[in-house]
Amino acid sequence: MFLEFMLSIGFLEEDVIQIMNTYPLNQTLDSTLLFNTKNLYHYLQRNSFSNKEFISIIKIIPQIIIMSIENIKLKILDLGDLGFRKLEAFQMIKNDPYILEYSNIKIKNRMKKLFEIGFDSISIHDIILTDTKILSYDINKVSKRFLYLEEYGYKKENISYILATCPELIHRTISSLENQLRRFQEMGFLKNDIIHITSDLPGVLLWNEEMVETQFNDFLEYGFMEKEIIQIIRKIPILLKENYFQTVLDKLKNLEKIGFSRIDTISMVNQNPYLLLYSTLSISSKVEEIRNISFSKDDVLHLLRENPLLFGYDIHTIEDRLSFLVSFFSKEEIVKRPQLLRYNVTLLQNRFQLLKDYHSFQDREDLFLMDSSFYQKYPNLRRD
Amino acid sequence: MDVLIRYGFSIEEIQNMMDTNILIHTISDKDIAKLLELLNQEGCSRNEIKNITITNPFYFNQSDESIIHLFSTLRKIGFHSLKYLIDMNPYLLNLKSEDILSIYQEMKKKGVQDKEILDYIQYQYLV
Repeated sequence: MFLEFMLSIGFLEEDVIQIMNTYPLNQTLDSTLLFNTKNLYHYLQRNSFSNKEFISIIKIIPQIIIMSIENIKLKILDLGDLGFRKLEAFQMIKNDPYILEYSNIKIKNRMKKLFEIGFDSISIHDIILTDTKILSYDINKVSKRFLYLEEYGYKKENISYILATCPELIHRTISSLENQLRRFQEMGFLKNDIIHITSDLPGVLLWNEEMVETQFNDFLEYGFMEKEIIQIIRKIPILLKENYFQTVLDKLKNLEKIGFSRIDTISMVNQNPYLLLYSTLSISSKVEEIRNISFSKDDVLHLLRENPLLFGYDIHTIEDRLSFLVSFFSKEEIVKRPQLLRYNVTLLQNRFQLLKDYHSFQDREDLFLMDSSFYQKYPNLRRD
Repeated sequence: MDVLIRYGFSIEEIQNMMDTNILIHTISDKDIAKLLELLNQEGCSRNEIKNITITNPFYFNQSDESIIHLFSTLRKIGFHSLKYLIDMNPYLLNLKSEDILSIYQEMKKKGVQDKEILDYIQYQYLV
């Protein structure tokens, strides 16, 4: 009966026999085994365990069959006292069924040790949730990796985040971590860059050489130079995310489709790497929005090419700035000098007012002087 | 995102910001409000704040402490009003205080005067 039930939910016969031969199940009546297993199965099913997950747990820790549901519920409550919600507790059981056998004191002690190593409490919670088996790892292994990263230059809070996000790193040898970090340095990244990039994207530390080179090669094939790629990735580490380049490529192609040459596209991205994160829709929309303020398409392309910051600007800001600028410049002049659109309108208005009040306003270029030059020419004017 | 709606951002603007900065949805309204307030304290108008954050939605990934530190460093090197500086280059807000200090110290070593360094930071397109 027990065997039939187990076969019906997906166990292999040899597994069931092995389970039945485990102590103390081998001392338990078949009817009791069946009753307990059905209860346990239905209880875990109600709490989102699939058949596959149920089978996995029973194979790892068959003794759970004779654990009462009440005891399991108490364990869930105990984990609640340690800060784990019910769903999280069930996830932890899926990750490592042995947690059902750990006392709260054991778990608390492990959490305390992780805290002593340098993990913050949020990371401790996250790492136990992601890699529950950390409750039974050799703590020295964890400590050595933490210390190694600290000596490399990472801050404790970054290491916490990195190891909580990628607990697989705990299983990497120190020399493989060293090699990975050295590989990045050989590519041209400075230590601080590596720390910044891997703090944002810890998974990169798990990459093999081929994966890193592939990401780089995708950019090189498009036409970026190595030095440029380093600068871009420094700003936007997420570009290293696996298969992200396809998304980037779509955006680069979209820019070409709008009318920018490849060289222009590369130049704009080098000036404003964040361009790679704007959606293709928002980029296309921005071009249309600026056209609607009565610029020709060629003018719009020129403005954006020379001042790629405009891609991100709110269109109302561009309109406000333009309304002020047309008092002093023709639209053709503004197109020739796209940097004029960077100036804050209030700054320009204040300067204009000051010059009108204290001097006869003569030269419109004075409005656009750098601060040091403006106050050198008009030393008596109060600073904006 | 309620705080952004209450602040006057349209759904489309918020969606664009979220498309550009995929981490925005993980940031609490409380933290977003703190960061908006920091810009407000610098004298930025609502429209200026909208432009700054629409252009650079990554601002919301920064902690308020690191922004306070950044502003303090900018003041230390000689900036009086930060609102024009930030509005002219919203991406400046993604730099750390150490980045600014590093630029300042490098240029000082080369003999560049303070006023010229401030001009460089304000008028060059630092990202």
